[in-house]
Amino acid sequence: MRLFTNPVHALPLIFGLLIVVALLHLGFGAKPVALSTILQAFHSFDLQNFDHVIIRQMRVPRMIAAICVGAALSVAGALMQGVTRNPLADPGLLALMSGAAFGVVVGSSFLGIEADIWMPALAAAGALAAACLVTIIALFAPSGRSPAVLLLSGAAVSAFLNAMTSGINLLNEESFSTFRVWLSGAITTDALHMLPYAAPWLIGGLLLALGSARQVTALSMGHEAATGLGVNATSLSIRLLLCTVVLTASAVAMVGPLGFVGLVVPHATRLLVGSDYRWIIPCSALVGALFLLMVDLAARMVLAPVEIATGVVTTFLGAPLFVLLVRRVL
Amino acid sequence: MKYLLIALALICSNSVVLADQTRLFVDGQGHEVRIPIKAKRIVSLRGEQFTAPLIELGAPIVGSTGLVQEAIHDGKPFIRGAHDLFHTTFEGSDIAFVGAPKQPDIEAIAALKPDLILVPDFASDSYDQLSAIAPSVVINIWSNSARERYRRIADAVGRLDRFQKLEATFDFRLARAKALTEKLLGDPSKISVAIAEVRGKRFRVYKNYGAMSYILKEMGFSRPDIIENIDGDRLDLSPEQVQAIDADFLVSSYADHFGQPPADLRANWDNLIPGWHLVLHAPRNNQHILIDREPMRALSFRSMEEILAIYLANIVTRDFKRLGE
Repeated sequence: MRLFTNPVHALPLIFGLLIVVALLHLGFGAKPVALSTILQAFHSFDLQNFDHVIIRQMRVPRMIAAICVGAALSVAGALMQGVTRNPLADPGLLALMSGAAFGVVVGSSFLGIEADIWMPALAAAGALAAACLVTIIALFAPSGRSPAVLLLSGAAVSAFLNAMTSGINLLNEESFSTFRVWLSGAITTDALHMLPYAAPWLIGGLLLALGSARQVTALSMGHEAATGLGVNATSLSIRLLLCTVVLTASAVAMVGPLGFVGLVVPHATRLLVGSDYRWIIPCSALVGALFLLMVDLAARMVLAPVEIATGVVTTFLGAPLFVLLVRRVL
Repeated sequence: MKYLLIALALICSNSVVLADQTRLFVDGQGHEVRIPIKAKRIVSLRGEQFTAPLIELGAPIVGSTGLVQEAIHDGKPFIRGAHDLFHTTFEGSDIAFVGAPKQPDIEAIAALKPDLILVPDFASDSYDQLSAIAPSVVINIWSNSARERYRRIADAVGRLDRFQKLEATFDFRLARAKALTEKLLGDPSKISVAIAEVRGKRFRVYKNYGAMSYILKEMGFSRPDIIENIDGDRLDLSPEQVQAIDADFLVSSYADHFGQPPADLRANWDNLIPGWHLVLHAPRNNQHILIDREPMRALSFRSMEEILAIYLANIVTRDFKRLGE
């Protein structure tokens, strides 16, 4: 079942909705700012006017970060679900997120690597290591390709890596305080500082995903069907794994681990455009951006003047869907 | 000579009696604990909150939790707060390291044969295990004022007399400082001071934060409404609300050896709240006061007196521009 019989119609509609929500994201927040001031902030910006600063230097960077991270995590989730044929696959549930966060924390705490430029690479190394570990554990388990085994392997590796990260926290209590909010997943103004370093990874990953979309559709029908259609399933799986790692790493480097985005958005997208990955991937990117913009808006406004970490909101929204999917799949 | 020997014997026997005698103490979590009148072997499970004041009181500490940081004390365990304020080290004292504050080493504590264990409220999960080793009292960290917390600690270890002497000296200095403030500034409540920090991705304002906030309150300075109305000790505010903390002075803390030097502190503000130094009165007029966090956090009259001196120099006795001028 899908909402749009012709997926071509979905793209402009989602894009239009994304623009509307992006404007709402600009217009609303913890501090009310008049529409005329918002417009002034763009055509005659004044650094002395804090309302202008809020719009141009706080909300715009958050908006860009939310769009990039939402797109990256959603496409990563869609690819994982397609490649593993597991509707519960998600960068968070399969430990990529924990791996990426662990990579950043280890690099920063033990290797003394604190320059922003290295963060995506550290996150990618951690995510790749976690992905390999999950795969190896699943391969050696009886009925290793079943959704349950993959999910349990992911949960085990995730728990292990989170415990290690907490251990580092205990050893470096005070220094670690700077990581605390980042580890709960938070879109903030300074996320944009990471963008120049994360962007090449992000763009590369999205282009690779878009370029592989047709083959992912074949792969999602099973390895044998994909091979029958002339797809080298093993080589494609490895390429897509790297693509997923790169997308997850760029997102984690920018805002920390944000759970459930990669799970929720691809399922919502399938309801809109069906199961053809030529549409799922671009639409997931847009729906993911849209979703995270709404989440960030809620995080800023629900308890204003206090702000909630974005990760708390995504978990709050994603966890019920996860339970629903578990009931349906397992 | 005979009388002298008798007097000495009486004093010694009196000390032994005091140490061996016990009394009932109701701790911060309502436990009714029988503790020594004057503890002789104390284990402290929080460096800056317990060990530091115990050192100032001259109490006999046999064990303390500590932290391990690669950049501090050559990577060896150190006692937070006490290390910074009194330069007390495990190697240079008779205090044994008994693990991290959130993960105390129960076996190491038992091996010390303490007669009293001080437990912070946020780490009281292992209270039952600790009470099996020795009488253990929970001291609430955040819900008491600094002085009241200190008094409770002094009371628990049987050093109220020493506490009162230190308190009298501090009160004398505080009274002099308040008199000078009124003389130079008039009504201190007309001067507002906000305590706020940006750490990582969090913009946090404080109603209660160690000696920094305690001395401000004792001196009679006011706080911005949003801080005054906090239900608790601190609040994470949206960076968009930074103007709500506008005050005559802004106070933040740095911790150089924890990798948070003053320069990073300002960079954190810049990253999270661009233009903060233009929109807030205090940094715009060079009225942003930076305080070394670790000595400030060490609960002690020494720390309170140091902070008092900082405020006298940076608020009371200098020319500054008032908010709204």
